[in-house]
Amino acid sequence: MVKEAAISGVEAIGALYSSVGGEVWRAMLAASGGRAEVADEATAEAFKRLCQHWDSVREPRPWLYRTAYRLVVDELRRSPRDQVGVADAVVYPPEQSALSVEVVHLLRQLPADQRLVVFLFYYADLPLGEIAMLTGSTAVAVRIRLHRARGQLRAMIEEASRA
Amino acid sequence: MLDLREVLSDFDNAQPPEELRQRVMRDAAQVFTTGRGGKSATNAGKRRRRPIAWVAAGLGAALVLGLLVIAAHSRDAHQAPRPAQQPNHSPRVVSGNGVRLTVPSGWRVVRPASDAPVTDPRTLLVAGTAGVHPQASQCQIGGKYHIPADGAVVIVLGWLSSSAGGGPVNPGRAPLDHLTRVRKPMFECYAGRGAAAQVHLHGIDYQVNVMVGDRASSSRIEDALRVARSLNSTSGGEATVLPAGPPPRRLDTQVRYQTPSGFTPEVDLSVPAGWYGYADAQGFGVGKRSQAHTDGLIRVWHIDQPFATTIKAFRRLPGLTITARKPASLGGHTGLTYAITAPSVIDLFGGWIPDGNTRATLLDFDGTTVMINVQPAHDQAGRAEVRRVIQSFSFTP
Repeated sequence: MVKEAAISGVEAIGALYSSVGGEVWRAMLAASGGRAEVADEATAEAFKRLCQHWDSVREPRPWLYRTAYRLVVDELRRSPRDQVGVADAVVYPPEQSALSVEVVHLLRQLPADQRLVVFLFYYADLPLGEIAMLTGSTAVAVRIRLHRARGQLRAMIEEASRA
Repeated sequence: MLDLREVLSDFDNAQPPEELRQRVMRDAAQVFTTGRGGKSATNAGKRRRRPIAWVAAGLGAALVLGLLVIAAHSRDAHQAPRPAQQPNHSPRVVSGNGVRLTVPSGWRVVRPASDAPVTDPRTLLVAGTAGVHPQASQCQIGGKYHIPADGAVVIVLGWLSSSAGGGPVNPGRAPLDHLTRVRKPMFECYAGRGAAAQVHLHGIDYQVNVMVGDRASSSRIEDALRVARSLNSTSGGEATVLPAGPPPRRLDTQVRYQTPSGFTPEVDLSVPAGWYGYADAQGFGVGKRSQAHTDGLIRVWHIDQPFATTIKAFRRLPGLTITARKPASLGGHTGLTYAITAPSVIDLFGGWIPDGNTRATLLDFDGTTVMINVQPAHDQAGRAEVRRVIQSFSFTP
């Protein structure tokens, strides 16, 4: 009986990873500013914690997003911003990286919370309500983050053009 | 204006590593079978235990990455191509909507800016250097693209249902030969230098426009003019009809194919030599490999249902998970591209969606729908090849 439950649990996690693993990983890649190593670690750890809390989690998708995002933020706090990319450069040299240096550079102009909402809004094309649900926030807060991100990027572009 | 959707399209190429799936499954098996799992070591914890030499190597590599980032954003960086999109340095042919251009290393196909509200001429193909991207503008040509100071762009317009403004154009390529210099002002809304020519090829009037940034070098300008002079129509000459299938048959050295008569809409496409392909009553498929169910395979079929109805049915397909959605545009037809996951093969209006992660584009085709399903290629070169083939699609209603 225990064994059967274990098999069905593993199968459920396998199916869940097939359906949402990629999107969670990509979102964490964006939130971490293109750091594939951090995205890998956060996604894997979030899935592991989901297994540990399998019986009490009602909505796995937002739970995974929030947990993985918290892990990304924790990791970014540990490593100063100017050192971002140390591990990536080893694990994913630029010529092998999935993201171009331009995109990585752009993402790193923004704080992690803004990167995540920019990615979910502009790439994943999700409505504000769904982004709020996935990030454990409110639609108003998401809108504010998007507004600030756009302002910051605009300022960055203007500064670059002046230089 | 920065087009974030265009910039973030880089994530199309980002796929989680297979090791991650394996690790998730391993962890799940461990937690569910033993109840263990506890709090795993954090990444930072692992990092603290790494040998000093490893950390030093990482810092060295970070320095290299940092220099690359700086180089990519300096004014002199225009020669540095994006590695994923420039596998070699030889000129290559890019095509779309019945026209083709030969572009040098560092150039790429740029998503065309919207022609709305103009319906004729239509933008057929845009090629530019890194950093060129469409931007919102009310202007007809100039101002529609962001051009870096050291960049350049070539835009091909076509009059598909009428003749070019300013009277009839003599057939032949002669006007292209006059594209030898740029001057300013050339275009409304664009203060920089440019050049333009109108030609009549295979019964269609085209206009090719060149725009270069303020600090473009003479070699960059010469490249741009050469790209413009290379304009040719892919509509002339005979295209080979795709063989009946499935399974896909090996295509010969021809690069231009078309769907059999009776398939609506008629599609003219260019594929690299050595690809496989087939056509059946519903549609066609082309890919690098002979198996019908493999990476990099592009399958296209026509759905005789309005776009909105198809979208509604598509989104409600049992078992289908949609992980991302983006606006799409191909050959002047708009639609939506979905990143999807299916646990098993799903039938959809005469076609089928394979299991696993694929990308489905549904195009609104004048009251009906065209579906393009792509099984992602494993490597970036393969993905770029697939993108080029799709961009070569030319539809005839």
